[in-house]
Amino acid sequence: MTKPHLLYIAFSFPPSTASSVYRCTAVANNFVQAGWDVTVITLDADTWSQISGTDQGLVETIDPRIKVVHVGDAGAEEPARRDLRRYSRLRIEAPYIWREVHRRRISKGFPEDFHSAWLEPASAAAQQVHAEHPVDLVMASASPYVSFGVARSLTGVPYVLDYRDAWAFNTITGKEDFAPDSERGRLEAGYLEHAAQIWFVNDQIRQEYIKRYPSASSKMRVVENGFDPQEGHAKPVAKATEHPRFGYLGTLQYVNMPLEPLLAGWELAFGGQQGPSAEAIFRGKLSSSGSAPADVLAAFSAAENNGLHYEGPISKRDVAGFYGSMDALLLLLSTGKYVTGGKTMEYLASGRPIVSVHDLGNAATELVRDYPLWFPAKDLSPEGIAEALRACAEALANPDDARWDAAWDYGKQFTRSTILAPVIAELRGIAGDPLNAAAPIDGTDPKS
Amino acid sequence: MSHPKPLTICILLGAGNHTQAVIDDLWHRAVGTVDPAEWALTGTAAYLRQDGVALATPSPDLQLVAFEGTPPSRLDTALAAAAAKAGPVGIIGRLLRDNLRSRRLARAFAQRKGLVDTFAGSAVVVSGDVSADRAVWQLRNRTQAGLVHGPVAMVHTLRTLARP
Repeated sequence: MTKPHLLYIAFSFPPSTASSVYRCTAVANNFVQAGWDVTVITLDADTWSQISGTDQGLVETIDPRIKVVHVGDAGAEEPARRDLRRYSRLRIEAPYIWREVHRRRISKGFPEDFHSAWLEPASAAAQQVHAEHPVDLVMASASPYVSFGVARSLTGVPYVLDYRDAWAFNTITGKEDFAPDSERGRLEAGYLEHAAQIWFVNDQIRQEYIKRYPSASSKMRVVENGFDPQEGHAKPVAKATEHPRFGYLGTLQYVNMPLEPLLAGWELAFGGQQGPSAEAIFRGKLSSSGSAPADVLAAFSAAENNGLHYEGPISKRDVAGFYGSMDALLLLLSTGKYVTGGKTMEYLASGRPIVSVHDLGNAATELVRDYPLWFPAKDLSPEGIAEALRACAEALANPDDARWDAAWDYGKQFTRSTILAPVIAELRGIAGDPLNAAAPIDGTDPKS
Repeated sequence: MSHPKPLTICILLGAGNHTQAVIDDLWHRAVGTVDPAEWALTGTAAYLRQDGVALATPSPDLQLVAFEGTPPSRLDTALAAAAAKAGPVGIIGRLLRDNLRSRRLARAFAQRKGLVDTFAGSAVVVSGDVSADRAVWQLRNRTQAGLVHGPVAMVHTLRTLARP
């Protein structure tokens, strides 16, 4: 039996360090391991280096059987390129006007700011892949949502849309970006109507989409984020400590995350004239673009005396080592009922105590609620956060082996391959459906 | 064993806040990007002195130079008020305010001939905030150095330069 061929449209793929990269890499790897041929269409690696930074360690996590096709950005990412030699006089004189002119110029093919220009070259690349090796299934990962447009460009090939989050509304504020009956909403409805499956990271987002587009509800499912064990991933030893080390790993979305309350809570819990009685190490980018907001750098600088240190981004290959060197983890998340946070599963799988510093109405709470080593801040006041930190420090001073064992066992359910295996098995049936067979090269649709 | 090759970066900062934190971050990222066995990194960071505060260098390999800007005028006060407003007035106010700041910084920088020569002779010139973009951009016909804004572009350029 010939292998089915998956074409995976993943704008963000290693060496990109964008937030969706872990999921995209795991999806591609798991399809290969399930016996598929996999081709990935992604943005050119050098463009990622220019606009937000790269991690070569991530490239090593791609299964070597995956074929990766890099596609240039066609100017889509120009606003994120900060090579001043490329700047026009207009961009120097009036950057906001230049940005708006650029946005209007490139948003014509697809209704998405800035990334839309990728539609044409990525669709051409998809046609080329399909011509050389007929595609049985297309999967498109957002964001950006232009990936969905690329997926639909292969007429007659079934496709899966991995939303992860939401296009129609902001998952942090809950604010609607466009209504189902708007022009963009009708476009989205068309994508959903023809999709073979639609994935979301949690049920809160899926339910909102069911409300908006009920006719596609039967195809909507939750495919949670998961944890990808790295070399060195090991069960923690519960050893008593009076000077615990707390770790934070992930992109720090400082605009939305309760960083200031955490710093204040930390000072209440551990600050003192004798010096701090605990230490916190933050690793990761300080924004999704990789830039470092001056006020956040200054906040960390001021917190150094209290034992808080920001030590920059970390390579994927060092992640297990980072967790291994921490006694407990700080789960800092944006507020919003649709927010799960990609790192939540990773934290749970680490088997270490977790101090939750987020709104307890977040979707993430459902995942951590039953974790045996969970120390939630009851609210986001400095006092509430300090109380949770102290409770965790007390548990670390007198660790209970049974509790640590239970935490380790609890985290095992979040292994990515456990989550993806049944979904991929199901998709094999969809790829083999003659009604959804690959379109002939002339583009005629076998369903029509 | 061969000696590390010299590599110089220059950093310019203008009207942004938390200048010390930005300089520290840029320098630490630059140091973390190049292999010290291959490259001996040195640099100069020039900043607009604000409120008479002098900054501390994060490393003896980075020299700090403070220079004076133009004292605020009534025009600054008017533009600041307009920039704080919502709607078209605010947009125009912010546009004019930022434009004026970058022009003043570029003028003050250009008057420091020695500093400009140092910058033009380096491998990478980094604008640390938006107000410094114009001054760095204006070096484009004077030097072959990489001219960039911010840490991501700086790291990309250093990696490209340091590639074997």
